[in-house]
Amino acid sequence: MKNAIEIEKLDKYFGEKKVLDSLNFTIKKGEVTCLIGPSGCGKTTLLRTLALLEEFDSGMIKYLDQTITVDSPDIYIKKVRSEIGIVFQDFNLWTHKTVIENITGPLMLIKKYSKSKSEKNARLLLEKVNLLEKENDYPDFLSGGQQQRAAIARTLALEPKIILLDEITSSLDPELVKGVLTLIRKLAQEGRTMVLVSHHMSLVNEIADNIIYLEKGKIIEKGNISTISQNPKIKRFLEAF
Amino acid sequence: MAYVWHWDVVFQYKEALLKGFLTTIELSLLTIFFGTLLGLVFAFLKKIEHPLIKYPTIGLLETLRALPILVIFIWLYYVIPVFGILISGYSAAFIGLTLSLAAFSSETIRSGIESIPKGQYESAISLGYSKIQAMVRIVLPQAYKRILPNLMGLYIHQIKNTALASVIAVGELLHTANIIISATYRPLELYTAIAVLYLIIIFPIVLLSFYIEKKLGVGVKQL
Repeated sequence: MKNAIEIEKLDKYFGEKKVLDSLNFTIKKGEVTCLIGPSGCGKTTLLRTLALLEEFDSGMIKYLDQTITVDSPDIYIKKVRSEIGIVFQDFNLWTHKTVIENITGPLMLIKKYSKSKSEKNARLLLEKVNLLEKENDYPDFLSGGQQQRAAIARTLALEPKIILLDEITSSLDPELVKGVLTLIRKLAQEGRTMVLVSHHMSLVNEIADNIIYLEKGKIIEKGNISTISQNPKIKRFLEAF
Repeated sequence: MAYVWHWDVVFQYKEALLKGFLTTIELSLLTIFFGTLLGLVFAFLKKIEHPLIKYPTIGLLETLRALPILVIFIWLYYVIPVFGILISGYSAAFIGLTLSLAAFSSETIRSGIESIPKGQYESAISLGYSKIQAMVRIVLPQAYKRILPNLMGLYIHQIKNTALASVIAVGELLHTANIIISATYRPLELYTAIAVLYLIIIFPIVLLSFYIEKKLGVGVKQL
């Protein structure tokens, strides 16, 4: 299977502190990869770096056919960004736009779709995430779970080749988590390439093809759940959930 | 002995007062427009991390904010001609008022932009928007709801500050009134008349700012 992401010797510093330490790994197309590890281990920083929202200090990331290094020009970075979708912990829906406008805006601007085609696509996605009746509501008037599902719909609208999900259930009340998890399972079943940071170990167990365990910015183990849980430290970490 | 009001003086000089009234409105509108535009430019220049851009901008803005507008007017009007550049009172007032409003509005605009959570900008960037598209389509439409009520306050001050231009002989309301007073010796009538004229300009703006504040609540959850 072709690689969706290849990372080589990736380093990142915050000031003097090395937060990502010589990372090497590959993610195959259609695979679901979960990043786990204790708080502050660099999971979210790695995910944001993969989304090219953070600069890195050395190494390279290859996305499908495009290689990004420290010196890559903005035009390559923008091209890669258009092929990656990220869903944030805090949803980040645009509060001045209705749910449907949040989806049609990028479709019209980035994909250059007409308004009617954008609306048609947006409604199909809203139906998929079970939010069609909320299309004209502003995000502030939705529950956290509804906002997160709308944010996922917005990300899916641009048909990203790789989807990154950053602790997407962490800001939600427990009763709202179920709907979002159902949606993620559905996306995994569709064979999408996804990288997710999650503390939901039952979800990780269920959908991950690959798990990367990080500690202090370093990869300690990678592989499937049975492989990595042979490491006593990781076994203790997993048992804590 | 009770003061005897002679309101006929006001009507006698109504054309001169109307001209002053229109000059005040013109100077206000022009300096509000260009001052806000320049304020927006300064707000973005301050965000640029390059030391040769950021620090001179901060230095200029802090100087403009520290100096009384009257001092700026007089400096422009009397000092600039020393360097061989002739400048009219109107131009000095226009430049002074524009720069002063730009300095204050840049801070209002900057704080409005920074009050928008970073995630709003980042989500646009992650979807493939350029930095300018993210700012113009996502951040500014949200920030203006927070900026506009404060800007309206600055605009009201700006209209009142145009009266200071009378010191450098700009034919706005106060200067016009002073000239008429020197000919008629009726200060109370004329100062009362121009006070009413200032209220005629400012009251609609106060009402507009109330309306805007109410209108801008759309899409924002009331807590």
